[in-house]
Amino acid sequence: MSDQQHQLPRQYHDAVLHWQRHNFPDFPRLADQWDTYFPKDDAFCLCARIQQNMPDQIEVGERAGQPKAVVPKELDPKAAEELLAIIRAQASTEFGSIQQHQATLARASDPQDQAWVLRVMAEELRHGYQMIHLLTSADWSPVTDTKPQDMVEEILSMKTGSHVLAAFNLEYDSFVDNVVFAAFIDRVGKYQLTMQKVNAYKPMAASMPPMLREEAFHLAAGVIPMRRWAEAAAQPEALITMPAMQRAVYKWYGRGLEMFGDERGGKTNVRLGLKDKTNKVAQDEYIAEVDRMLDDINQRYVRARFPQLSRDGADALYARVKADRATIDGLSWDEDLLKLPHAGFFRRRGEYAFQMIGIDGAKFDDVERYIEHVRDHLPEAYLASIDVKHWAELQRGVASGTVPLENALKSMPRLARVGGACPCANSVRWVVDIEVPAPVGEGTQLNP
Amino acid sequence: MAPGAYGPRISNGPIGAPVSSGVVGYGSSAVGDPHAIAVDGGAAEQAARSADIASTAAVILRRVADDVRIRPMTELDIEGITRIDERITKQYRPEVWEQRVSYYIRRDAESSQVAEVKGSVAGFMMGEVRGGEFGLEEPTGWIEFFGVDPDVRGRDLGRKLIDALLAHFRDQGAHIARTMVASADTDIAGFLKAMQFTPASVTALEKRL
Repeated sequence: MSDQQHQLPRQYHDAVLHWQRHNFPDFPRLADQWDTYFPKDDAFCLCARIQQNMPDQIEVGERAGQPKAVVPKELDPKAAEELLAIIRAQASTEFGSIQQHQATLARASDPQDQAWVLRVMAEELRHGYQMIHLLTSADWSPVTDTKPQDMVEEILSMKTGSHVLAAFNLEYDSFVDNVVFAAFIDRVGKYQLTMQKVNAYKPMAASMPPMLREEAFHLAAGVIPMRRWAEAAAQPEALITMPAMQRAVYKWYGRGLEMFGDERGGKTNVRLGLKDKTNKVAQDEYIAEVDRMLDDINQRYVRARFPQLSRDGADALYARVKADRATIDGLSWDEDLLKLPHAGFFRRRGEYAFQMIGIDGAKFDDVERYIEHVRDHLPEAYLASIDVKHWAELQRGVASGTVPLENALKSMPRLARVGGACPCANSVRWVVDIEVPAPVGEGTQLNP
Repeated sequence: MAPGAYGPRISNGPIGAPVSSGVVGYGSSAVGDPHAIAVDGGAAEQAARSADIASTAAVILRRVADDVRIRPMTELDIEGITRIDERITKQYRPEVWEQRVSYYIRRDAESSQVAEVKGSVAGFMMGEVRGGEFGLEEPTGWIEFFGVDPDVRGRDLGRKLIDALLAHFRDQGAHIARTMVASADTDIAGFLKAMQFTPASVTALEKRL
């Protein structure tokens, strides 16, 4: 169960630290708070971790039973191409989530919640570092003409609005987003990492267990504050209400579903030995899991709202309200409790993309009525975003036939702060050549 | 131990004790007050060993084994663990279990275990490998909190949980597992004895302040 720790060659390590100074300025506070919130935990390490004793043979797909690749050229060419895209997308999500969290980190109302998110951000930085390790520790030239330093440059240049996946192009409106994002979006990350534990490229597979161990805490950093907020929401003076959390659920859930990829796809990745589940199978498991998560949070709310009820009494009340979608003894399914919308609600990718499906699954015929329906359920601050405006324009275009669906599926909102070089000075790159660069593939091994 | 004898059991969890070398003592918990451990008590294995009902028990155990699943604890088990604790102690303490679960997940997400019966959490066992506690330098698997829903006692969950936890401790390089039991907790002591735990060579001392 041990893992080896590696440091990137200096030019890339320095580039990540440079990126951190601009995009994650609160990072140094983590060390100051570590002993208060994480006593006795090992100090944070900005390094790549490679799990030892991983399987040597491909576990799924057409090449199951054959030796796993230890360098990209040993992969099926199609698999290598797909894997490179996966690694770049994964790296984008890691750095992207830090940029999102940073914007509202200071708005946390509880010091522990804030410290937890700060640790989550640091570990996402490590996960991004891990992906850069995969990109720079091997020769990818058989599948791309892009040099390693240019791949890293591209990743570090992404900002909210230019990341690969839509979930990482939404700005947070408040600290509620930091927490709901951890509960919903990091959970998709858990599924992706778990599926990739079988990856036919051994360094990728061996990168997953250490990341998954950290991801487990990220989910707790989302669920536990939501549970506490639900309890507090039972009091009349609550600052964060159940409807406020519900709106955040509506904001993020569809983006989370889309992170699995199109519901009809994923067979290629299984066939190539890169993942062990298709998109739909993994997504269905995710939906069941987040539904159970909301049950737990709702039960915490019910206990606080009806302290006179026994455990069994509160459980029974919740079960009846949920089953009937009703209001019983003043507890309203619609007004008081958290629920998932239909999987087709507010979708822009996948089989439900732009199909105008409401929160309860009803299909809308009138696009303006649908846009109004969606807006009625999203957080008020989010309504003013470029993202919502862009979606509404696309939705109108798809409904009227002026925007082909395939174009809408690829469209991302154009934000003003897209991409670019290091903001220290125009035209300066994140990755800077140094006089004695370490050779590709030989990062410093910290504990060989 | 007769079925039905399970109830609230209190024990100390030696978590996070800042201990000088060579000093043995109870640690102050890093995750809140160290209370509320309840245990299945290994009644199923005792029942199975009882000659006159052995065959019946074996049949029952085989039947229930199919719907029992042991797996690492996650953040989504908090409510189920809180429910078990509440059934045993008659106290509703979600914040206590939130702190504890987050602590163990953070420290080692694959260590602590839960038992599911028909998809619901019916038992849990929390612990981790640490070295240097109480001057005991070798990596030690500490078993710190465990409990089983009284409604599902007799299904061998305690043994299954401890087997999974000890297997993980071995994977983490520990060659010894340790725990502490209050002298009044005869049920817990009996369970641990049945799991081949023996009295340690260290003595627990205390001084009322």
